[in-house]
This record gives sequence, C-alpha cells and structure tokens, in this order.
Amino acid sequence: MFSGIDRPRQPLHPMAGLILSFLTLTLGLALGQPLNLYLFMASLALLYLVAGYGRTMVRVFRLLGVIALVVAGLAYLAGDSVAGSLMTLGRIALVGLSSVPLISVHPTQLSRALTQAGCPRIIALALLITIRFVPVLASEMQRIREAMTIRGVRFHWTNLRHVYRALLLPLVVRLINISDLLALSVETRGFSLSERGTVYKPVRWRLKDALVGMAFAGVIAGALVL
Amino acid sequence: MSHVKSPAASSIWIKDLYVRYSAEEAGWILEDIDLEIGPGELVVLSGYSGTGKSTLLSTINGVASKVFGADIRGLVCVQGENVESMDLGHISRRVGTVLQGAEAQIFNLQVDDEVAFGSENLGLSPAVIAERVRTYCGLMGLSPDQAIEGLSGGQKQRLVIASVLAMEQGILLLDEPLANLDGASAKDLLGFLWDTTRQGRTAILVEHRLDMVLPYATRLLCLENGRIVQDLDQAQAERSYLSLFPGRQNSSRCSTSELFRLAHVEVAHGHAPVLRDLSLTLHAGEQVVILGENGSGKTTLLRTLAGLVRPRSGELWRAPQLREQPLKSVGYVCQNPNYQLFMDTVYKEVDFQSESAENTWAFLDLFGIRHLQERHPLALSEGQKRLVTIAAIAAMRPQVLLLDEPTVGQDHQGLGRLIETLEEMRRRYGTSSVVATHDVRCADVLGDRVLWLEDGTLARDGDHGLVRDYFQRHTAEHQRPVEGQSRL
Repeated sequence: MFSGIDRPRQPLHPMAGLILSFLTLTLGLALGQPLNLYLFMASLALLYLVAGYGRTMVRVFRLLGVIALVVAGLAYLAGDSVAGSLMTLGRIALVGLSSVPLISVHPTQLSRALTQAGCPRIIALALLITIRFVPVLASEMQRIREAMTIRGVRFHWTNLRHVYRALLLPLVVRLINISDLLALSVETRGFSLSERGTVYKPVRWRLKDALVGMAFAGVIAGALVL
Repeated sequence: MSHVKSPAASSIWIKDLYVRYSAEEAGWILEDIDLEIGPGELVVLSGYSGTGKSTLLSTINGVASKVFGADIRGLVCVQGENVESMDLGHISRRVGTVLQGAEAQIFNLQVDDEVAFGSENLGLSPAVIAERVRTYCGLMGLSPDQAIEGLSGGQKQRLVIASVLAMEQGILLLDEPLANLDGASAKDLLGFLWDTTRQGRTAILVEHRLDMVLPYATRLLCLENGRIVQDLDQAQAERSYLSLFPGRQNSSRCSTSELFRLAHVEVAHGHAPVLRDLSLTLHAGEQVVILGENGSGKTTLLRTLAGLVRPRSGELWRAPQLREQPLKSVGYVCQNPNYQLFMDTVYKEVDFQSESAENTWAFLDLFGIRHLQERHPLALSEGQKRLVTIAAIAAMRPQVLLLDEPTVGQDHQGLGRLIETLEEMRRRYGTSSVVATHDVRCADVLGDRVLWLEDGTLARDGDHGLVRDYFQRHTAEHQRPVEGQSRL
C-alpha cells in the first residue's frame, strides 16, 4: 500500500500539507459567490499542480466528480437555482480539492513531522497503529472465514449464531491478542511516555514549501480583495 | 560455564524465585528458582510446553509483574539492579526481548522504520540508527526499503528479531526465535548470537529445536513443573538430548492411486507469482514433506491443494473422492491455530465435525488431550492449541491432512506424539499427509517423499534422502562457529 515511502519525495512537508488542506477548506467555505469560489479553486488547482499534486488531483476528481455532478443535479431538480446548484457543485469540489494535500501526506512522514514538532510520541504512534490496523483487520477477517470454511462451517451472514461464534468471537479474541502483544512489543522496545526519543529520518522543510506558502498567501489575498 | 557469585557480576541473578499469575492460585508456575547467568553465556531454556519457560523470561524482563500483575516472591536482578525497582522502559534498555507471534508486533509500514523504532526510543542519533538499520537488516536478510505488507511470515519473524537486535542491549531474551525461520536465517541468527555473546553479551533462548541451537549454546537449563531440574554445559547437553530424537520408521506404503495432479500450475498474490510452472502428482497414503526457504511458496502450495486459492494458470486435478466432499476429505491446519478454534471446550472443538462421540473420544485419546476436554481451547498454550486444531481437523477423517508448520511450539513430547498420531492415522484410516516445515526433526521422520521448493518452483522431488541434502546445505548451523569470525 505504501511502498517506496521515501522515493519519490513528498510534494510538500507533511505539516505544510496539513495546513494547506485546512486553510483551503475553511477559506473556500467562507466564499459566498460561485464566481469567487471557482476562481479561488482554479487558482489553487494551478498551484497544487505546480507543487506536484497533479496525479492525486486526477484521482480525487475522477472519484468525486461524478458524485458532485449527481448531487448538484439532484439539487437543481429539487428546485434549487442554477447559482445554488453551482454552489453545491463547487463546495463538493472544494472538499475534494482541500483533501488533496492531506491524503498525499504519507503516514510515516506525518508521524515523523509530528514527533519533530514536539507532539507527544504516543499520538504519532497511535496514528501509525490505526493506519496499519485497517489491513490487519481485513486480513484477520479473511483468515478466520477461511479457517471456518476449512472446519466445515457453512457461513451465512444472516445466521447470527454463525456470525457470533464463527466470526465475531474468534475475531475479538484475535484482536485482543494482537493489541496485547503489540502493547507488549512497544514497551519491551523501550517506548516510554516520559521520554521524547529521536527521529530516524527527520523530515526537513524545503525552499519549495516556502514558495508554495507564499503563492498560497497570494491566492488568499486575491480572494479577499475580490 | 560461567560461575558468577554475586548480583553485581551477573547479567541475570535470581534468588528463591516463586511466580504465579494470581495470588489466589494454589500452585506456583515457577518455584524455587536460583539462577546466575554471567556475561558471555548463551543459555538454552528447554522443557515441555507449559513448564514455565516463557514465564521465566517475562519475569526477567519485568513483564510478569508490571504488565500481568503476577505474584512474585524472591529476587530478580539484571546487571546488578533489582527488576522490581525499575520501570519497563528502563529494563528494556538493558534487556531485549523477542516475543512469540511476529505478525502482531509490527506497526510500521516499512522495514527500516520498524527496525529503527527501538533505537529511536533509546534517543540515538539518526546516523547511529541508520548504521544499525543497515547492519541488522543485512544480518536478517531484509531490504530496508521494503514495504512490510508484502513480507512472508518468516520474513516478519526476521524483521521482529532485527528490530530487537538493533537496540543492542546487554541481555537478549528470545522466545522461540527460530519459529518460521528457514535454515539460512536460523544459521545467521545463531551465528550472530554466538559472536555477540563472545563479546560479553548474554542471551537466553527458549527453543524446542535443540538440534539447531545446542551446538551454539554454552549452557542448557531444563525446566520441569516450574523448577530447574537440569543445568548442563554444552557437551553434556548434546550427549543427553540429541539422542532423544524420535526415530524414523521405515514406511513407504503409498498406493498408486492419485489424489492430486498439478500440471504447470501458476499461483499469484496480486500480480506477483508465488508458484510457477509447478507440476507434480501426489498419491494416496504418501507422507510428503515440503521444504524451502521463507517465501518459497510452501504455504501457498498447501492452500492451493486445500482449494483456498485458485491457480492463475495450469491444471489442478483432484481425485473424485476429494471432489465429493472437498472440505471434509482435505483437512488443512494453518500456521496459526488461533484462527481455527471457536468452540468453548476442547471436547466440543474436536466433536464439531466428528461423525460420532466415540470417534471424538478416540481422537482426544489419540492426540493425548482427553485431560483438556473441559478447558477453553483459546486458554491453552500455543503447543496445546496446535494439537487441538490438528485433532479437530483429523476427527473429520480427511483423506489428506495438510499441515503448515505443525511443530512450532511443540516440545519433544508433543512432536513425538504428533508423529506417532500421523503414523497411526495412516495405519488405521489410510490418511495421507503433506507437511510444510523448517524443522529437521519433523522432516526427518515424516518425509517419505520430499518436495523442495525454490522461488516458487519445484527444485527437487525425491525420497527421504533429500531431507539430508536440504539440511546439510546449512551444516555450519550444526557446528560451533570459529571464534572471532564475525557474522556481520
């Protein structure tokens, strides 16, 4: 899922990505006119493209574009004005656009950046564990279902007894075991809440972060003037 | 053998130790333990399942009292300091622990981050951490840039070991570190432990594969019912224990009727092929052992035979009797027994797909687990869980039993019983077995026919003689390494 973490480089520093996402969403929502909103988004899309988010934008809008058009179309059919429907379309697009820098941040990089910024390590650790938990959960469910099939349990979602005994029970036991062992592993590897530790591969700010930041400030100033 | 006589000079010093997990328990899990282990010692801790080996390790690293809340009497010191007076964070700076169950201990997404985690906690500089990551990834045959998601079970075990070794504590505790490791990785690890203990570190291994570890050990401690009953040096240990290996019974009683026929089979995980151009035939009554390094495709071959994965190309033919009731006629026991247990007593677990109560009792007796009949399966030791899982599958009376690493967690007694049971099943019911293993004891006794996999292809297919050829590739692992030859 996240192979090749350090290659290629992240477009921006993880903290810059977080801030950019947050400001894009909040400022965009504050714009009341469709024209202003679309100009704001067009400027930011150009900036994101230059910053290196082109591929992510294509992926996001390939998914979100259809949803935005359907929702805006339904709003129009439900009696909304053209301007209102355009605003609905724009706000959904804004959510997509604002998510671009955020979802481009690699969890490992974000965890490192948070630790460097003085954030308690437990938060960075929890972030990583949470992200890793999703594929672990999926894989555990798959293995349990396979194991039950081997044992001759004919599994049906509608059969609550099967769901409880043959899926839920082993799954809960496995997840408790995994979390116990994980906690033990973390503690026996020297993790302590009271000590900060170091970062193996520090994430550094680059000139590009500053340039994108200045350009972003210019876009905001333009939006405020308009 | 070192003969240290004071806590300060010892790496580990234990006096009058009694341990139980609850003060309400009548008996002690460990009792009357007096032990001194000095710098430079590589100690193997042996004993049957449930005799307290893991408890002794978790008492030394402080986990028993500080995490499990165990009732502990007596004194345990590491490097001269009382374990009770330190918190876990400080103990872990002196004592490195490799726990069982590698997969559940990993939380990073890339190999180097996982290996670096412990060193980050120690507050080492990025340059030092980078050097350690490079060194220990190299030692365990891992690529630092590799994504963890694609690693095999054996590779994850190597990763967990590397992440502990990279902290470079003075004392290492390793609980079944060779589980799922192929011969080359096991040899590298044992060689490293030998070297590092020569330089003054201390290591304690809990391991059932004594044939592999004894040539490297300086001392063998045997636990029985929570007490240390034997404390032997290396020469005494080899004399006493290598003679206990179960003997091979000459048995080549397979029929000519085919059970499986694979022709140019290719199986892939995603886009990556795991088995390639595999052609072979398995016959009724055969006892087949699959050998191969980590990631060579052993588990995938078993899963293919069990019908859990479908070949991407090629032909997989099953005998008509296997096609009629595929789930009952092909019994598959996976690596981790926890997935296959779901009833609330051992009896019900074995009885679940058994044809009669009589049959259930017969299999409880055959596997020697009748005395566990009322116990909850998930509350048993790992070795016992594995026996229950195999018994539950075996009670379905499959025509073929597919076993993935059945000896992990099995002591000599458990292994001997397992082998006798498989032989008895073949004698009574004509059950064939296909076993994937890294364990020479298991392969030696169960391998009438040997399939040797390399990178997903069938490198060799032959009789029992192949077991010797395969394990002799790593003969150095059975010889004490030459002093001063670094493995790094």
